[in-house]
Amino acid sequence: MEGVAAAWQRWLSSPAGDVVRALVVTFVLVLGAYSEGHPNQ
Amino acid sequence: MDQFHGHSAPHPTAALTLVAVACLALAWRRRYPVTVLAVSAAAVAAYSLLGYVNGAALIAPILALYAVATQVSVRRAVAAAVGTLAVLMAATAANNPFGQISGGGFDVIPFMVVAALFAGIAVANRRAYVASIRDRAEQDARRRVDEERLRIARELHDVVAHTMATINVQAGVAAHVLPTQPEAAADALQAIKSASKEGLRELRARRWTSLAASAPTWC
Repeated sequence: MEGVAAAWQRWLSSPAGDVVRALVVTFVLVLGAYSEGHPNQ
Repeated sequence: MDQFHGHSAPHPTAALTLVAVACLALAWRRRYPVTVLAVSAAAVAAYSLLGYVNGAALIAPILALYAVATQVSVRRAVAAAVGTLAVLMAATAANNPFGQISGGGFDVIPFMVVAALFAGIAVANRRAYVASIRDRAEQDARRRVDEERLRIARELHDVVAHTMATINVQAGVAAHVLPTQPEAAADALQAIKSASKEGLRELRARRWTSLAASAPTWC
């Protein structure tokens, strides 16, 4: 269990993790911004 | 999206690109937190100036502000928060799609900025606290190692000093009585042999017990 937690912590602090999280945030917020501009769709 | 509440706005693709830039910049928030905040806030400010509803887009500079607050001093974090607050509120008020200065994202920006600032400062404080505890534990470990080494050195000194003193005394006796009492000289030489043998045995035994005792079970 500690190994899994350590691996998760390494992933959270890794540059690859930063990029993936930025991509996820981009997808969600762009979708949100698009939805705000098209409230009836 | 080209027309929203009477505001004319450019093609949504260009506007959504600004939102994407504000978000993608977050990938570098650890290495360049202040730069990322500036880029993200500028992109969302431009998006807001175009007259779009900026509720979701505001989250990007807020995340960047949180990253700044976790990595810089409180004073610089507050300055960054004030700057972010001013830029985002001014851009939102300048072309608010709700038809007035306030409303929509304008109303929630102060709460989001304050929440990001406080959360970042709290996380920074916790990280500093954990780091201080870790440093203290390492210092304690080093101090215990030094104390153990000093104890070993003292034990070795005591054993060697006691053995050498015994040998010195017995050798003096042997030299003194050898011409007249050879049997007593032989006894003294035997005592020297016994003392040196005992000393060597103690050195060997204490060396091993000391090494065993200094095993880093507390590291």
